[in-house]
Amino acid sequence: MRASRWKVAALVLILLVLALAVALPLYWAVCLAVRPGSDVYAKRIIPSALTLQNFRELIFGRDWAGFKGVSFLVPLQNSLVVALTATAISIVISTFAGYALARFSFRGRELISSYILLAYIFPPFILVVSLFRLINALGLHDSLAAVMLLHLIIVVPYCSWMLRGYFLSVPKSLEESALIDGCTHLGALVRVVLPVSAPGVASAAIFSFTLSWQDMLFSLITLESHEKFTLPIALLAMAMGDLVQWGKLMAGALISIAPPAIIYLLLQRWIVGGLTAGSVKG
Amino acid sequence: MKRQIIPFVWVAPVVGVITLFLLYPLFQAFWDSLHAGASGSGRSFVGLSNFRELLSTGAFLGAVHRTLIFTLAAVTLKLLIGGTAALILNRPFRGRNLLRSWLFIPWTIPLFAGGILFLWLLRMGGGLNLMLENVGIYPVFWLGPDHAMQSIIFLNVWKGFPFFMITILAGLQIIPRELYEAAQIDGATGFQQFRYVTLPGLRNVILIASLLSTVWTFAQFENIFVLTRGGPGTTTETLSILVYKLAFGMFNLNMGSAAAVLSLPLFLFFIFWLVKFVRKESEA
Repeated sequence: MRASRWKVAALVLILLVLALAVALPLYWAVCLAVRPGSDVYAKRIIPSALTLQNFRELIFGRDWAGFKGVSFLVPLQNSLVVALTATAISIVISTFAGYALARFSFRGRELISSYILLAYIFPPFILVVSLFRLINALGLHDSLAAVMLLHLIIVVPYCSWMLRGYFLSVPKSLEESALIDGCTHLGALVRVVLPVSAPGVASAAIFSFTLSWQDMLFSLITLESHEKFTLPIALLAMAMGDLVQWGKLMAGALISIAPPAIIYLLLQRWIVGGLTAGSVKG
Repeated sequence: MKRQIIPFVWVAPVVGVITLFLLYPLFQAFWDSLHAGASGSGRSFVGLSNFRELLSTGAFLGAVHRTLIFTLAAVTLKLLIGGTAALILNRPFRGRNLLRSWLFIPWTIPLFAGGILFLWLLRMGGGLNLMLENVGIYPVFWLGPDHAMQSIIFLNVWKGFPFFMITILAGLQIIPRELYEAAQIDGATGFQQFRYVTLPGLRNVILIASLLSTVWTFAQFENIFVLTRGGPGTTTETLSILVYKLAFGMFNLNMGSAAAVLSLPLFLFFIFWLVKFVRKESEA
């Protein structure tokens, strides 16, 4: 292919602008998080010195957003607990459902598949009032268990649909011999299918973890006590009021960005296929 | 007999979760939207009067209007920018993998955190204005009434274009090389190859990515709530923000449900189209 010099220059320019636009918010976040307090009122674009003061105060200072006695590690831990529990439950029940939908033939199979896909696409905000009522009726208001339960409606349809697609791609012959040898369906799933499906299960788990990690709406309608806050509403609380401590706020944002960013960048090539929930073939 | 029961036992937990946390709340929302007053004795059936009130004040139609502008602008920009990046990254050059990873970063950043970053970037004395001042341009009130809508679109596009980039890139790589070779032998120009080989080959990928993104963008909450909370005034008050505001800002749960129910028809069109399309694709 021949490309004129102007064309190459234009392409390089587009990429350069895009790369800088991606960097801009991140640059400022890092800049604010690592610069010393004395820079706050200076109109500097480059920090005068580098310090981890903001991170130290967040973790050991115990007064992010003025809530005495709660370290920023608490919302970090809460978010982790919610995301890991929701993911674990979701993977277990979705493995069974996905396998059943991929392998068993039974009446209502197509209907249930569509039901799951519909739930994956359905926007949660439509349900937010009723879910608030439901959580109160269950007596779970202001509890991490409630957030975890609500996150199931985000992650379970995704995992089920994705795993169904993955199991469909595993050759049937693999478990047929096991079934002929007298193995039960459960045995065939656990001993034969799951070991070769590890990549699919892992990427479903990673996506499910990030879907739960990203959600703010369900924490917002459920949690009230500061020691139960998850990361999104902890940051939201820090960003409110007249005297926002920008350095600490950005340090907190960077801490909440790190886990999913690290997972994705390490495993990027592996999980790209899961982006559209197995909906795009090839 | 046993074979008939096993499948249902296996799918039961997932179906149960979806029914308890989606289907039941959906009916509850319909029911609530026809009532006024808190649950218990103060609650009474009011028929369609909640809907009438929503439509008469203009709050709902205004939110529909803003949601459509936000969604249309954001999805179009994401598709154009993501598509352009994908086409460029599809050619081999040095540093391509590094650049692809770099451009992918925003997709990995949760929107609530992205919102916090943009909160500093776009505020009056914030990052962007400091940089503008350095080159002699007056600061701009990015989160003010004139630019707030552009700001939430900017955040949404920043976060969302890598999704289009990656899916279109994956779509480009499965277009058979022979098609391009055949087109070249027939004397097709670069543009003709793009028009008659690349675009048709990407049709389904683009359609699915755009539909998914449309539904997600339509329902976007974190994006707007963190950055502007629907303000200033109601300039960025989309449907999701309106529902939240009515239910949890004004503590009128029934009215919030009414607004949610009323926005459902707009979604259902896209959702059913998407479900049908994806089912057809994955069965084919």
